Amino acid sequence: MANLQIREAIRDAMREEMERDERVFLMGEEVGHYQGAYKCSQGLLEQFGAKRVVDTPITETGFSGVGIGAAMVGLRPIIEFMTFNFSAVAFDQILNNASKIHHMTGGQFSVPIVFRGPNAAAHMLGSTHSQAFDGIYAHIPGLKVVSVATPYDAKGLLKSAIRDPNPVIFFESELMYAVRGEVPEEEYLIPIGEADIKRPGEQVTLITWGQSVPTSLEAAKLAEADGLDVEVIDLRTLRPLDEAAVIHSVKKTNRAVIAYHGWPYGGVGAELVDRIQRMAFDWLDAPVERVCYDDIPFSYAENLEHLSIPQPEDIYAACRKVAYR
Amino acid sequence: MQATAWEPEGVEALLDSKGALADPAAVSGLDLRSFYKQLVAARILDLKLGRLELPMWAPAAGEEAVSVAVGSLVGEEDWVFVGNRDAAVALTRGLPLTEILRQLLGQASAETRGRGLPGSLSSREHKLMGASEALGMNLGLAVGHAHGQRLFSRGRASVAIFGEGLTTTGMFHESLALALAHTAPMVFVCKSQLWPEGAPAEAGLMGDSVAERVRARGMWSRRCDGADAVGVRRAIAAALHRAHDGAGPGLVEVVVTPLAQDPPAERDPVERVRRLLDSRGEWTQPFQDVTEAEIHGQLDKAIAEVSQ
Repeated sequence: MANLQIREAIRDAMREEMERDERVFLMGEEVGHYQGAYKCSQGLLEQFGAKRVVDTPITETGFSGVGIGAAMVGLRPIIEFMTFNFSAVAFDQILNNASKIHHMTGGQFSVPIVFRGPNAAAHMLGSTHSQAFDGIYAHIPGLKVVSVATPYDAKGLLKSAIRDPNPVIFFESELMYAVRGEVPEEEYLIPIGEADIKRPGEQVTLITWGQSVPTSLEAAKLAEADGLDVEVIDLRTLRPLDEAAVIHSVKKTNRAVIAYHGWPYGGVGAELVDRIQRMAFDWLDAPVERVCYDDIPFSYAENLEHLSIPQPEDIYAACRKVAYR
Repeated sequence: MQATAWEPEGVEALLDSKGALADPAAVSGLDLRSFYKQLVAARILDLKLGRLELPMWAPAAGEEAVSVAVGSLVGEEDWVFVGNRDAAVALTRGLPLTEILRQLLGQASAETRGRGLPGSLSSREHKLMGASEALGMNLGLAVGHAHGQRLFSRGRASVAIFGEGLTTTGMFHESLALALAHTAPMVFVCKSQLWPEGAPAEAGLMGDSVAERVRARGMWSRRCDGADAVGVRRAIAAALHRAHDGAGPGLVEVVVTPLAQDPPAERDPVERVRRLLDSRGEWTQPFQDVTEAEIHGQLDKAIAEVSQ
């Protein structure tokens, strides 16, 4: 087993897929000479050359469209957004082309493309650079949406995303690129659409993903010290949702908390609440709780930002609440 | 002819590398010593702000000619849509140093109440609008603002300052088209780097001139050298004059050389004006020391005040 950072796991996934399949190429701002704004493409330009590691001008609408077009003729583009905040400019391409071309052409064309990059809050980057796009992209039929929190998941899921015949939105985190973890030397894939139990437990189901995974695991430790046994489920894929894993756990614990980086209005958290109340209504012993951002744009000031980001103590408090403690 | 890789092509030079003026009439009516003091203040502001280690902070040393020209030439009713390296525009326009610092540090008592990003500054009172950081998106706002100004009355202009990187975006081209369609009193100021960091030439401008591209679509434009503060001042003054006069939008491209790239001394706009003053017998070391001490003193006092 190798001990890798998430950025290295992402790089290895791209490298292995580029070695395996010459149709795979990487395109985005500063992915080549600069080796990626967060060094996720270190060494790739050197290994694969400028035809397959393509530096672009500041043109998100443009290079997203070029990627979709290239995918339509059979290539396997990986489009890197320096942050998903910049995907706002490319939204029209993703919403109206990537997600709909297969449908609108009656399946004559498919769009096997990956849009990847950091998502949600980092540290003091203000309103426009701290946004979570989970709810926005997961809302769109025709897209698959993945969010990773460990090097193992990042590598296995990115490889699956690259091989997937559909457009995949792949969320990473600026603050988690240096997170380390064990990654097998031999090849492996993680199927899109499968949640992972990061910590088994019996009394509360804590559903989470992305940056909130490590925070939720800390919250589970706080609860453990208090004699409350929390099961932490990392969704890993936000669309399609692993409904079976969530409902199975809720039927066991009879209580659910959802912790994530994102606004409360609508979104993946609200979607989970809907499914839990419909599919496990008779098993619930308490209303489902959500811990997420405040319903406001982010602030730049460190103290205000801290208040908006779900902390282990907040998640622990929600676990206590559903357990009526 | 390009003398070195640092020299931009196709610019109108007023102040050469030795500090000699091509046209002495160009500085008539300009108090050169005050002008120089503003440039020095802008430089020192940038150095001191750099030491605050703010997130995503980008140094502006080498770009003082633009900040000082815009900050000192805009009319009282004009608005400036600043970018991320334009703190000195706010200083020149009279935003108090304490307010500049409070906004950059994200303090509760700042006009932006700890919410705005550290790169740019916003103040309704001082007619400054900060960049959203979604590249190019503020250009549309600036054009809309200029259009509104025109509906109110003639004689008001809006200025937007940005870097060459966003001239590849759709928003840039749409903003130009709309400014032309509405004859908006708009001054686009594009700071171009010949050797931008982090990107190969083919991802940037490839030596292309933004001013020429803009002219091809029918907009008045000038290209000047950011190391020539007098030339930059003249070009921006001309663009503002046209906008105020109802002649429509214009773009001034200023080729800037970040001092972080360690260019030769004559690429430094502050040093070039110092050479001009020196050649006229208007520069002495004590004058330099007093000028620097003054702004250092003001900044140290402001930093102490907001740190309380």
